[in-house]
Amino acid sequence: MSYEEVLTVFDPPVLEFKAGKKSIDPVQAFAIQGCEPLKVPSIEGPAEIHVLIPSKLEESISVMKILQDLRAGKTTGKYARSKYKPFRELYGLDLEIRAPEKYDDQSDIYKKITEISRLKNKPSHIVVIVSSSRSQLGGFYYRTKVASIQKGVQTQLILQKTIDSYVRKKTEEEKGDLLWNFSLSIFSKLGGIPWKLQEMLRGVSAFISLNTVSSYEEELGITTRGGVVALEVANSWGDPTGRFFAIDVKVEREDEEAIVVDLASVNTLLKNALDMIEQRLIDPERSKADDYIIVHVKDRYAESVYEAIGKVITSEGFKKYKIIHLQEDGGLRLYDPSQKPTRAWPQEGSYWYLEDGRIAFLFTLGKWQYSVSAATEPYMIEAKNVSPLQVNFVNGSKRAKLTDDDLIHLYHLTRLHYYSADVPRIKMPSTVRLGQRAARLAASGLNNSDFDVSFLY
Amino acid sequence: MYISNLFKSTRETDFTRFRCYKNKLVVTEPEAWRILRENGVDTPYYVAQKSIYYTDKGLADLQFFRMLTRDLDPRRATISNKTVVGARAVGSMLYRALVPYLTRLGFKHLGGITAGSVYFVPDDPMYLKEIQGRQGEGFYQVFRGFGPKVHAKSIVGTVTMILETRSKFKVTVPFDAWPRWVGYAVKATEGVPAMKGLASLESISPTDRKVTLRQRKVKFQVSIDSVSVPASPATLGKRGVYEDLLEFAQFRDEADQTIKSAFEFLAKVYDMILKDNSIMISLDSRNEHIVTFRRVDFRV
Repeated sequence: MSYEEVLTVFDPPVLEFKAGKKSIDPVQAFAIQGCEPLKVPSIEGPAEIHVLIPSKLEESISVMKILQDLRAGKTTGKYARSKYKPFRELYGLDLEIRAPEKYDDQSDIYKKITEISRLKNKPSHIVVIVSSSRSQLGGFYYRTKVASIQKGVQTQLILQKTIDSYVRKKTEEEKGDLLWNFSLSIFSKLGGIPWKLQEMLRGVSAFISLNTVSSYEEELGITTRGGVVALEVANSWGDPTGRFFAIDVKVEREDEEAIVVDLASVNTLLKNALDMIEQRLIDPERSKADDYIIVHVKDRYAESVYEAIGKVITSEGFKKYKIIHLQEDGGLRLYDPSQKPTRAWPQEGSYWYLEDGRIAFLFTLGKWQYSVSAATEPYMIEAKNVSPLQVNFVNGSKRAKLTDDDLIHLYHLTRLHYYSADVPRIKMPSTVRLGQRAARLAASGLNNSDFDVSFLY
Repeated sequence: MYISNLFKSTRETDFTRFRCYKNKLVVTEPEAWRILRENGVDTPYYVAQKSIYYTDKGLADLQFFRMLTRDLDPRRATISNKTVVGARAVGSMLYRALVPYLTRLGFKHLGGITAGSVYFVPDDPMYLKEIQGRQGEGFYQVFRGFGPKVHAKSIVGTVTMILETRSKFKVTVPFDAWPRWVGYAVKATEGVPAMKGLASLESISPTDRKVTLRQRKVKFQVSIDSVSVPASPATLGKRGVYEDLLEFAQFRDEADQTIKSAFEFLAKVYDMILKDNSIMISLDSRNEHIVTFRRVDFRV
C-alpha cells in the first residue's frame, strides 16, 4: 500500500525570435523553422576572430578546422542537430578568421588583449585562445578571463582536448552540438541576442544571484577564498540581458551547516546591484516599493547572511523581496517502471510542493516534448539519473512565500543560457549558473567592478 | 504512475503529540553527547535545551545514565514537530532508530548517523568497488549506497523521509606504501590543530612509526597511525582513479550491467527493506513504539 500525490506540469518555456517567431528549441528554431536571431548587432564589415595557440602545440590545423566549420557550416550527419548552417546564414554576420598566432605564456595573451582593447571597433573582435586545461581558480584560464574582462575584450577559451575530440572522436551529433554552442557564444559575445522568453515573468522586477566559490589550495586541500557576485538577468519587461558585479569576499567560516561571509562586502555588492537595477527599471513612475527583488542562492549561508541581504534590500527602498535557495539535487527520484529508462522520468516542468509555500521539487530536466519533425534528433535525456531541483524559500518580506511563479521563473531561466543551444538539457537557472561563473572570476582577481553579462558566456 | 523514494509517516503517529521521555541534564550538552556516544547507545536519543530526549525507557536503567541526570526515573514528555527543537529531536531520533533497523537487515553504515551516512552491504559488488593503486600506493574504494534524508519540520504532524543514493570514497594505505604519498595532502587526527588537520606529508620515519607533516612553514611530527589520505577529487585525480570511482558512484559503470540507473539500485534496496511498500521502525527495544513510513507514489 502506498500514499499518492499529484504532480503538476508547467508548459515548456516558449522562446521568441525575430518578428515574433516562436519555438521551444533553439536548434529546431534555427535549423528547421527558419527563425532568425532576435537582435543582430550592427557591425561594419565582418567580425574578426583572432586565434592564439600555445607555441608548444605543433599543429594548428585542428583548431582552424573547427573555426572553418563554424564559419562555413557542416552538412554531414543525419539530424538537424548534427548539421550546422553557415554562420552568416544563421546570424546575419560574416566572420573573418585570422591566421593563428602562437603564444609562449600569459604575457603574450595580455599583449594581444591590450592591442585589441585599443581598437575603435573592439566589440567586433573576439580572441579565441586554445588552452591546455581549465586550470584551478586563479590559474591560467581564469586569469586570462579576468584580464580580458578588465580590458573589455571578448575572449573564447577552447580546450585542447575539445579540439582533439572534435577532429578525432566525436559523433556527428556531438560535433554539431559543439558548433551550435560555439556559434551562439560567439554571436552573443559580439552583442547579439539570439532569443528571449516569450512570456513576461510575473511577480518579479529583477533577480540577484549571490554565489560563493572556494579556491582549492593544491598542496593542502584547503578552501580559503570566496568570490561573491550579484547578477541581474531577465527582468519582467522581457529584456534578457544583464550586468554582474564581482567582489572577492572573505569566507569567514565554512562548515557542513552554513557559510559565513564578510557581511560588509556583501552589503557593498548588493548596493551596487540594486543601484543598477533601479537605473534599469524602465518606468520612472514606478515606485521601488512595488518592485519585487528575488535573490537566488545555491550555497547554504548562515542566518546572519540572509538577514544582511534582507536589510540591504529594504534599506535601498525595495520593500518586497524573497530569498530562494536552490539545491541542485534534492534527492527525490520518481520513476515509471513501465517505461524505457529514458522515458521513465517525469516530464520536464513537473513540480510538487513538499510543504506549501516553503519547499518544492521542480524537474527542470526530464522527459521532454520533442519536436514534431522527424528531422530533429531528440536530445537524449539522461537514462541513469534525473533528479529535480529542490527549491527552498529561505525568507523574505512580509507575506512572501514560495509560489508557482517562483518555480516558473526558475524553469524559464534555464532557457537564458545564450552560449548553449542545448537549453532543454540545462538544469540550473541562468541566474545561478552565470553567477557561479562570475564568482569564480571574483575569486580569481576580478574585484569591485561591474560588467556586461555576456562576458560570462 | 511514478514510484518514488519518498516515504511519509502514517496517521497513526501524530508528530504534534509525539511521546517520548525527557530528563534534565546535570552535565553540559557536549558532555552528554560524548557520554552517550562512548557508551554505544543504540536506541534513539537527542540532547538539547539542557535535557535528554529518548524513546526507550530502558535507557534510564543503564549505569551511565546517573552521570547524565539526577532524575533517574524516565519522565514522560510530549513534543511537537511544530517547534524547531521538537522537529530536530524527532528527526534525530528517527535517524538513530534507522541504524538498528537497517543493521539487522545486513547493512553497514559509513560516516555519521545523522548526516551523510552511507548504508551499504559489505562484500556485495552492487555496493562496493575496489581499485588497486597503479604504483603500489595502496587501494581505493568507492561505496555506493543510500541514506535517509528526514524532513521533520516540513509538514506539521507528519515526517517525510527520502531514501537517497549516496557514495563515499576511501583511500587505504598499507604501512609500506606511505613513502609514495610524500608531497600529498594528508589528514591527521592529532597534533595538527588548524585547518581541519590537513597538512602536506614531508617524510616518514619507519623506525618509530612517525611522520613529519607541514602546514605552510610549520612542521609537525605525529604518529603514522593518526594519519590518513583524504579521498579528495584532486588526490584521486592525480592518482588517475577518480573517473573510475565516480562512474561507479554515479551508476555509469559500464562493466556493471545489472544496475543501469540510480532508481534500479534503489528498487533493489527496496526489495530488502520494504514490506508492503512500508518501513516500520521501532523506537524502543520492546517494539512497543513503532513508526511506520509508507512510500509515496505520484501521478500526473
